[in-house]
Amino acid sequence: MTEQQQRLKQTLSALADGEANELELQRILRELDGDAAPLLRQRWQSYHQQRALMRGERFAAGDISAAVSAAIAAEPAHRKSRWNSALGSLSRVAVAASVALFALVAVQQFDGVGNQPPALEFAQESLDADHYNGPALQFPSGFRPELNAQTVSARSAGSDRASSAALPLNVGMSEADYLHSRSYLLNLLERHQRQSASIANPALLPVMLPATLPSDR
Amino acid sequence: MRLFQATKRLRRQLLAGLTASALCAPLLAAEPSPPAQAPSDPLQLLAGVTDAARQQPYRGTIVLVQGGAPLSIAIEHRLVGEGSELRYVALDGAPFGMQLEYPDRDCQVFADPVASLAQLPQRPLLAQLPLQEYYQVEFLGVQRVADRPSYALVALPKDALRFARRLFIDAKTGILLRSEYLSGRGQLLASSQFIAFHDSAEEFAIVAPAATQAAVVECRGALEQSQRIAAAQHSNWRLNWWPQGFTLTDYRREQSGLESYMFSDGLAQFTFFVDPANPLAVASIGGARGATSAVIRQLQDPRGQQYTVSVVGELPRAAAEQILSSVKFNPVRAATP
Repeated sequence: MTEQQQRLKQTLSALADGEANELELQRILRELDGDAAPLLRQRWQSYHQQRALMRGERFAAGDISAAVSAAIAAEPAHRKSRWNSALGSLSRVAVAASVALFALVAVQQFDGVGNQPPALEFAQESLDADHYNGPALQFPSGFRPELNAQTVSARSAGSDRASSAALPLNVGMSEADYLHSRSYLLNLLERHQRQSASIANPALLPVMLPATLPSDR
Repeated sequence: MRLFQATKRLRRQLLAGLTASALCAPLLAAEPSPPAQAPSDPLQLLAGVTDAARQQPYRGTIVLVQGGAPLSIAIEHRLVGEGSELRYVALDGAPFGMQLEYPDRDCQVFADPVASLAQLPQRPLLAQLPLQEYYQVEFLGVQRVADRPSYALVALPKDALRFARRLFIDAKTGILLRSEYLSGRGQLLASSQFIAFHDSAEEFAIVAPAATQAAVVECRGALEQSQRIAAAQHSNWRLNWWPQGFTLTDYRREQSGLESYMFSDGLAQFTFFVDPANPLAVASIGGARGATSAVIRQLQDPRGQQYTVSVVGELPRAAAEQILSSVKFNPVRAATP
């Protein structure tokens, strides 16, 4: 097995575990167009069967993705037109993605876990959003600000004069504004960390951070 | 359902990691034999950590990893009279030092729901918050940290409004040696840990750099703490919701008018800031470092005065946003016509 195949196999395994990142997913989707496609599909299926067996669950017999592909191919709207061929690989990627998703969902539904209280619905989302997976590391300070120029109005519930006053919409943000916002955010972050350290929290080491971390300088 | 799976997977990963290290242990010839007895109650073990850190001398090196480059810190804690002194210096980057004096090492810190003085006697200690209602705390085994046997605990949150924690507590002294924040997928978000630890320190051996800040951490009695928190009642901006289990532990108001409300559930913490100054050019901004999320919004009160309100804490981003979205303008004095 070549190194590339080995890597692909690992990526596929990560994807089956729901632990692949965006880049890895893209790589798999790319490969689904290539020569390795049949092998990939076969492995994908066998990963899930193995996992299902290990967990003592039922697994879907047959290749769901092949059936889905066939169904999609039979769909008139997806027949090749001039427009579709112009879109080319884009639509293929989209179809492949939907197949992969469907396979994942279909297999997961056999998990015999009981229902969670509805309150936890929101929770899943934040777990699956994978708290800063990746991008944070691309910044030297480990910090990634996101800006949003949407209008926000004060919600003054306790007041008679319900204020709908909104802030001016400010889409084009200058470099100076950006830096100001960033340093304000960093300042709050450090203030919070210093103050938390000064409260006796059993789960924290007794270190108050400097006002600005040396790594931010 | 997926949350449950994520929790299961996380527990599996945590256990697998420990099993692997246990298998390797016999290979290490100089491995000190760990205490055979596992702690009977992990919660009690956790509750003793704060006192242990304050009442025992130690010195060592700590490494903090919070999303960016790691930061190493040399630290010493020695006992002086009724109190203790803590000194630490950053070993990387710009020189920085901190020297803290704790006049009372038997100080007890109270947890306080939005307080009234009448409730004073019933208030629990911060270390005695009912953690088990929000986390499932389990003893994972004995593991070596900083060349010392330590008890490994995992606290898995029962909702997704907080992170999982893995904590390693020194078997001999009860001092926390390693603290980790983990996402629902078991991804390590931030950690701080001793990489060298000695349970003695007579005189300070660390030389404090010129840029050393000194502070006295007074033990605030229950009354004083309660008065500070009662002062928080005068603010016009209120949080109407926060995750169950978090209680207001402190309140500060600075000369600039910046107010901080600190909340803790005993393991995680977040701060709600209200700032009448510092208008930003954007309506909202968010970011994160390590396990710490920050979300900031600009709001206007009915008089047109701009405020910047923020939630910063070791919480999933979605939880921080949900807390911040509960902010209401609730004038204190307007209640009386």
